[in-house]
Amino acid sequence: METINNIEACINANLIEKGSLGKFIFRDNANQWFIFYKKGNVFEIEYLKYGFWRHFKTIFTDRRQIYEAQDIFYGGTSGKFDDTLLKLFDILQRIGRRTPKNEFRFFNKAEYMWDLYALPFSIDSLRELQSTLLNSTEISDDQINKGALVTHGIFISVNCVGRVNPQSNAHPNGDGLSRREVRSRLSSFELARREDGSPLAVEKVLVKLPSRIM
Amino acid sequence: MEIHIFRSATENLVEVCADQTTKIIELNKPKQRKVGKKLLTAKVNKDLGGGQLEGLKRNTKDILALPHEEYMEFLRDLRDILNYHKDYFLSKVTIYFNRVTQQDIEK
Repeated sequence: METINNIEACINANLIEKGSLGKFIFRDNANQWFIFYKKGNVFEIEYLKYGFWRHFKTIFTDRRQIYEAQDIFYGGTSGKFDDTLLKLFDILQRIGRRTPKNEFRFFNKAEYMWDLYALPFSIDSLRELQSTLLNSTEISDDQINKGALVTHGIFISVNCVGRVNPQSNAHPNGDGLSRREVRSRLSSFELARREDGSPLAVEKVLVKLPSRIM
Repeated sequence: MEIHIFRSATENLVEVCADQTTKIIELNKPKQRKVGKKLLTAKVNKDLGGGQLEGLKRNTKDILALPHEEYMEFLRDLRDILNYHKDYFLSKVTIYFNRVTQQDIEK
């Protein structure tokens, strides 16, 4: 767990822009998603009741891909998806509060833009996981049989790409791009979006990166 | 053995990327910018490849993170490591998960 915690701390402190978020989230075999976080010297669990990760099987059909959602919190001109995106933003801020060296929680959804990347991974079979665990002395057979197994994981990276309004002050590290400019910048990725530019749904926003940049 | 491989692979990856970030920050320190645009351009081109020069110019003062393409490269490596070691990684997470939930029950 220390390794995961250190990796998260390094990513958040050194590799991503201020206002971004990098975090591992996991799923047990009862389909509950959760994060680990360190409180003092002890690791604790926080369950995540909402989020696109709940549709893991539908979204992440190929686990070897990196999935991307550009301008993730923009719900299009209709505002139809605003509630969904607000809920997603709120839960990501909660995750941010539990993440070492992270400032995502201090950023306003209306003022900045973020691209989201997801790296899904999961076991091939429960039997294989159980057999790996049976060889471990760190867990009892009883616990394995009770079925508290962690079967899926995602590393999510919510990358701040700049301010929404080009007239406002520039992002500390960004370039004050307008949504139109960002769209134009991202058009080469051939995103599957509706005609009005809104995402189909949170879970459908995630699209595979095109092969040329994989 | 496998945890060592996983740990060193992921930690080395993060360290390498962090080193690269440090290098970029170093390149953008004011005193180092005084070496002259030509020299800086040559050095940046050598260290990072010409494609990122525009980004570096734009963010001369404030780069605190990896440039986008470098970060994508990091994510690709992380994805490969996670997928290669997924069984072992998730088995370790399972062990900690059980430990933490057991603690909660005992509380």
